[in-house]
Amino acid sequence: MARPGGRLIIEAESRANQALDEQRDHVFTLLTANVDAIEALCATRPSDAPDQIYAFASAMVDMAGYLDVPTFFEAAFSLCEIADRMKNAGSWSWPSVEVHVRALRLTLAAQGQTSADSDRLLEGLRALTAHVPPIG
Amino acid sequence: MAKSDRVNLAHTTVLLIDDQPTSLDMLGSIVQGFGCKEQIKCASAQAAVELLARRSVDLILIDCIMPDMDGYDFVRWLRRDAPAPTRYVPVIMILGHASQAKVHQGRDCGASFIVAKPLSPSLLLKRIIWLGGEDRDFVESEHYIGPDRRVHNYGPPPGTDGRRESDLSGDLGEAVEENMDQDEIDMLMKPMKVSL
Repeated sequence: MARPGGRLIIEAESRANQALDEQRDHVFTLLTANVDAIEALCATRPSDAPDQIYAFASAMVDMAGYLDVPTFFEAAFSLCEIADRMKNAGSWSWPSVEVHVRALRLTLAAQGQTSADSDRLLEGLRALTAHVPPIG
Repeated sequence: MAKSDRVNLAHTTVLLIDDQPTSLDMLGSIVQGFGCKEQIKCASAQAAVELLARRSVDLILIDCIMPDMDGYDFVRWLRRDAPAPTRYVPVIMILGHASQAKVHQGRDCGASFIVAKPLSPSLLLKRIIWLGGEDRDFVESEHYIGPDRRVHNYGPPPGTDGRRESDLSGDLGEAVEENMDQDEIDMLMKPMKVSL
């Protein structure tokens, strides 16, 4: 790693960011599809929905975690957290999931970027999650 | 390390493990941007186990949460059952959301680092560079095998012998040589001409 040659750190970071940017549109399409899938589960409410919702939200966290989309990431992470807590507590609340779906749509429309509205939105999601006791 | 410093990963082979194809591609893009010599992608930890039986790598980046064998199980296998020198390869685990039960496993499985998402290329490169220069001991005990979890070695607690070969006692022993006199100390500090 310390051998002569290689790349300037700033250049290595810039190339990595550029390579990620090239995938951004494709990833946004996948994130939108996942939000659609969760919304469909909210409408039909099958018995295995909690596991499916956690899996979709976790996949969104995985993908969004490499992009600069802080508000979308936090909304998806919040859905993971509350779904995990509600599953374990045996107290599933569909309205809590539906609020997260709306928040995910709004933050996705804003390209995951921060604004005064998104701050209030995330504050609301945090308050929702705080109502469900953590595991352990 | 400043942005104007250089990093040379042109001789580094990186193994990337993630069951989510898109996340695996994104991680691959980052590693490609860093200028690594070679990247090998595995869609499961089991596939990575089979690959490491055939060849070695210099660095492993693995997602913590995967079906069947997850990242924690993989690192435990690597540290305990993989042949040397593969078992000593640095591992960075990447964590998205983990249920609470999984979080506590991270510290004890033997990974070199666990980094939580959101993860920028800048942060990942910092961690890789840190690993390139680290000199932590490799601990092999009954309950833990992996890099020393203490980043700074302050020695064992007073009154104990420590569990690592490099542990030194905090007690000062008797001097084994005579003290230097002041002239000898002055000579050490004195600038002198040398002929090259």
